Amino acid sequence: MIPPLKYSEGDLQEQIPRAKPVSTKDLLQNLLIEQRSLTAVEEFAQQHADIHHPLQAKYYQNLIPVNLPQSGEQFAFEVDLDRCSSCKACVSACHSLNGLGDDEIWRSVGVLHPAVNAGQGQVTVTTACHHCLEPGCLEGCPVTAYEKDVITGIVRHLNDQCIGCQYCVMKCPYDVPKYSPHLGIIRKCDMCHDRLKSLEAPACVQACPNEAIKITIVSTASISERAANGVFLPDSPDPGYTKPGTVYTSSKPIPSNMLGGDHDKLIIQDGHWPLAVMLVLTQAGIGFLGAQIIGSAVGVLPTLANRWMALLGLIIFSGGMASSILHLGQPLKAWRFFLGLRTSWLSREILAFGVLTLLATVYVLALWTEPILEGLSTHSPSRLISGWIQGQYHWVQTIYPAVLPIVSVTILIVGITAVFTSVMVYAVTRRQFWRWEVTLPRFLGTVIIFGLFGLLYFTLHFRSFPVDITLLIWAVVISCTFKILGEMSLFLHLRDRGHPAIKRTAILLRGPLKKLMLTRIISGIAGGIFLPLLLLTPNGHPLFVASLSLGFWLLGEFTERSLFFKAVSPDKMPGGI
Amino acid sequence: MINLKRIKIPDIKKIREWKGALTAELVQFPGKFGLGRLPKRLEPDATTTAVCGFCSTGCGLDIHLKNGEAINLSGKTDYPVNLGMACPKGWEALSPLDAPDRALTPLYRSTREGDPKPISWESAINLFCEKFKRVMDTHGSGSVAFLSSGQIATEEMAFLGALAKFGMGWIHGDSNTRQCMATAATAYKQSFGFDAPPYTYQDFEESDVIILIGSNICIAHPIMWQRVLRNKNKPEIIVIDPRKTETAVAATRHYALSPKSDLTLLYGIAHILIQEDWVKHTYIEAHTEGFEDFKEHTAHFTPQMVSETSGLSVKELYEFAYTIAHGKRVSFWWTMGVNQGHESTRTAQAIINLALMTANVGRPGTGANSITGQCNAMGSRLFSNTSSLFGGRDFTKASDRLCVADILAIPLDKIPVNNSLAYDQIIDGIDEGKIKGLWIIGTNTAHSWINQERFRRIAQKLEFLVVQDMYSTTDTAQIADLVLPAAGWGEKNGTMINSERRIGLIKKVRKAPGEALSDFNIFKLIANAWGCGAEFDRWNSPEEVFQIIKDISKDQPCDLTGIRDYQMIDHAHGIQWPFREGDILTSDQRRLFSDGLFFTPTNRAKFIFEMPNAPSEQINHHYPFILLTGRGSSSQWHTLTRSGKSDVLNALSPDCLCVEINQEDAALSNIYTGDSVTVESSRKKIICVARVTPNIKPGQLFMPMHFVEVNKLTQDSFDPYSRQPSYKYSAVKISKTKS
Repeated sequence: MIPPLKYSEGDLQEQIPRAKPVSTKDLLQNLLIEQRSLTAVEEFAQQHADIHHPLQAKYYQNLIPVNLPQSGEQFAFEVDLDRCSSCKACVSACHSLNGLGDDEIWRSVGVLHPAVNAGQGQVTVTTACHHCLEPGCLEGCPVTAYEKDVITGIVRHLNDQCIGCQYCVMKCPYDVPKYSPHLGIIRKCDMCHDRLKSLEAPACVQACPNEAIKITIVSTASISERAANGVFLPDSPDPGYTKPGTVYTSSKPIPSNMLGGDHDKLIIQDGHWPLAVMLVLTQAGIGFLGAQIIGSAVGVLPTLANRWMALLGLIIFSGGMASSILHLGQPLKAWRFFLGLRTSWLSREILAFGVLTLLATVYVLALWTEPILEGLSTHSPSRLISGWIQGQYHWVQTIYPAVLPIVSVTILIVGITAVFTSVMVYAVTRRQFWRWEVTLPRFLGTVIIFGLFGLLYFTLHFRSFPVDITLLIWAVVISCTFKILGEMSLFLHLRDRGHPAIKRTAILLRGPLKKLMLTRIISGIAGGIFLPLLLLTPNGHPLFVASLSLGFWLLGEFTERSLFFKAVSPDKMPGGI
Repeated sequence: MINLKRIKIPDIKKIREWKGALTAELVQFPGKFGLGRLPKRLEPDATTTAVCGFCSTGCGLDIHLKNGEAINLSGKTDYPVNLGMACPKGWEALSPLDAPDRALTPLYRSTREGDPKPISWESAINLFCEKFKRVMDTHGSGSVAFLSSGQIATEEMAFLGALAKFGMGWIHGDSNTRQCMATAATAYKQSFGFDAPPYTYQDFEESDVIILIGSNICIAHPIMWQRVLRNKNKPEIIVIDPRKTETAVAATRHYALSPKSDLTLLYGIAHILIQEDWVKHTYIEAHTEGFEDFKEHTAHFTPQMVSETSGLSVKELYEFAYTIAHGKRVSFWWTMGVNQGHESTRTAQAIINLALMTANVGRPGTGANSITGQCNAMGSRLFSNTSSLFGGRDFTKASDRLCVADILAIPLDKIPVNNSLAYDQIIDGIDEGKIKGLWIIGTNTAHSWINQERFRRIAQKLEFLVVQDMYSTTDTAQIADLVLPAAGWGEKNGTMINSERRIGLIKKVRKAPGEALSDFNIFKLIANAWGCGAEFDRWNSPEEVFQIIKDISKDQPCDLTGIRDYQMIDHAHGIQWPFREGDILTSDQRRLFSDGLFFTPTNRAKFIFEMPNAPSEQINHHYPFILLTGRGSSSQWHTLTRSGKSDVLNALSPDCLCVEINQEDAALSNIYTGDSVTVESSRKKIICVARVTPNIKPGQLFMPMHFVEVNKLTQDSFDPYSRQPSYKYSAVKISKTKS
């Protein structure tokens, strides 16, 4: 940033010649050197380096417990709302004393506004990680990068364990875990456990001019009880989900109809394009494979179509899998995914998709064994090898008819399971737009429609086979229509009272995300309704039209999935400053 | 996304990695220097103390140094102002120094339409001298002016004031302190005989009644609110403010008076105190003058009349007066709600009158106390040589001129015999073609000046506009002919004086980027090139100028002669004036007037009063709303030139301009929170976002001043005595934006 100095430090003259006119150039040279010399250390007496005890302790010693929690207890933040004055020093101090990245913030301050014209004024709320009794982040982490400390109850994050999948961001209803794109991992508030261990107050506690934040010991029973009774803050996530430890106190009643300052603020979330692509492509791939398996079982597809359709399905599916890797900040650590199987739907998703990749690869290889062996044998340089290959050929012909159906059925089951795990990954976040009633039809719809498209395309391609194509076209048109209508039914929520999260999503789709939403609808109608119907009329290029149709539909699906991420309105603590 | 450098081949054995490079980055180690635990990366090898360069609270910051350079900071525990605390701006004080839009070289625009081009310092200084001299040769010495800032060091202000007025022969120069503190300065001067805020912050802790008038200290001065909360007397905290501000919510009582009914209200309270005989006659007789006339004046302000004007009930008025009368240690505090009014000087004096008549002056926990705005507004008020001659003296008094000429060893005729034009008069002067050259230092007129568009229009008439600033991107720098790149807080040494008269140090703990120079060094360059270098041969370094300032202060109420040098200030954690030669520093919390002797010729404080007037702009059926402006959040500072450069502060600030509107008014216009609305005054129309709230009364709107659009709306009227702009009252209308 700072360009190299044109003058050397040696040029610095002790005294600028006084009273004599000097040239601007000479004076400037001295001044620039002086401007770059830092002298505070030499000029002023220093605080002694050997003061190891924190000087600030005299002000905060009553704000932290001297003992560790007993069994059945944990540390918790206690915030006196009467004393919080909206100065936000806690946020800055946390940032500065913990050495966070330039725009990384672990604590935030929001405001609750009174809903009616009462005498009551606004309430400012400082909030960080609530070190929940049942942390959503911990439950969702596929690699167990979260640990709830057995003694302190502090929810710690293992930065070197994290794979940067950001699922905890989606799982935490309080918007606590923060992803650092630069580091490729999540970081979050750890209640300054290093400091607490040595009886120093956390940065926020130290820095609050009003002593509004302290660390207390609370019983886990009381956390559960408060959560069960819904005691927390107005316009905040339901404490029953993760059982937050933080205690908010106030001498004045806090009316439950108060609203966060950002209650009706529309925030476009990250589109997570690798995830959107992953979801669409894996589901399309599964659709292709499934349709091929069913199609071949009922005998509507010729052998050649079978091979190509399964191969294409596998390629599309693998494309989705590859995209999912791009989502991770630390992909090489992802092999630990199985650690979270006990609690994490993301772990389960990774497992299901892993198994499916394996099965589908075996399956496609099996379908292609014959042509591969044939090719090898034809192009073999030696007669001996070609003879050996033909011997195997016989073996394959005996075994495959028995094995292939079992593999096919397994693929169908694992495929559906995999899509189900994808649905659950989002459904369990409790975000309204991602609840299973919304997610399941979308994800399953993608599978079915791409399956139908696959059948249509390959039937058209291998025309020799007589199938009632009209039926297939209508199946595509009807399912696409249903899917698009289903998605648009979200706009019914525009009539909801107040500003529930799902209405915010609908407003986002109608307003700031209008262009994407229109893209989705137009390409959906073009690819899923208009072009397929065109196939019903006599035309010279049915394959071209079908490809175009598939292309448009794919674009529509990518947009739909991108909106799935962008338009969701996550729970959070009251914000808006 | 994937960062290839960070990918390492995993070790199968480490199934859960508790340690590693990413973990280590945040692990804290026992801190030295009494700082507590810190991450390794942030461990300092030395620390030094500097006062914060944002607001007038004047917090002491521990600057964490590595190889002599600042890497971090925290509040200084044993600094008597802040006791180890800081507000977010203080915590982020270093961030604005790293902004990518720092001015690195002088920039010159040869034509108004052209883009500014980097030029050398030599050319810049030559241009500066040449152009200003040409203007002066053609139009006279009254045709040039400077506008300075309460954000630079006292030594720099003094140098500028001396250089421009005694060296370069300029007459006119003012400072942006005109926008924040001129009223308090004028009120104190007239009432107490000198611009002397009497208090020390400890008074916040010792009062049993704290009255905050037009002061939202919870967010404007959070560290002063800290002192309020440390008060062990369970004080009654009364907030007088049209809005239910953060402070009003936190207070024990809030009187939401009608906008600009403050003067009437305060006279009404005086009326009740007199009627009920709740005044301290002994004190009044011994230490004040003009009370009888004042008594007569207040007779007009009956509770009924005041109730009608202020919107407070008669019962509330009595309650208020009763609380003042029965408090043992009542302190009155005011800030911009009072200072930025059309009759602000008299309003401030009405507060002073209440303190005087109830003998709440000079004792712990009392006082009529103006909370200052900018970090060095107090330095500017005394030592900038702008509105008053050095050391709180008078340009028009021969004895004062003689005294200063003597101290500075300069010919008497170098000192102008007339007062400078005030900020608004300088701008009018430009409009009238009297002022042709303007030099703006460290302030952002094109954003902050009231009825901003008028200034922008008028500025086009200037023959030469120079802006000296840290950033080449400020609203004002963008319209300048010449931009001089300045070093900022943290890149230079000097002193600043806070609200409670405490002189603190700022220190050079960062290297200025590019060829940026401290304002002090820029003045040196100019002095040399202008041809008056010899005259300033004693003005060699900030510390040498501090010695000159000491001489200037000698025998004035703001006497600093007892302060040996910077090291003494550093060691004492700031020293409050007065501190005369031979004085021994026994306390770090000193207040004025404990002897009841004021700085007037009679040593008596004066009751000064006048009949209230209505604001010059009234609401009408075209513009039916009163627009209030003020501080928006603790994380924003003025025009955001510095605070807007910190990611953290931006994250803590509203991301767009919101106008607060009462829900009844909103319902009438079908406005909901989040709607785009158009707010229009007779001057300008702007678009912003509505925030519907009960915190503001019907008929009023509020906008935070930090957004550039706001001062396009405000009406340029001024207090006649202090010439301070009245930012708190403009007539506007609001409607939903038609899309």
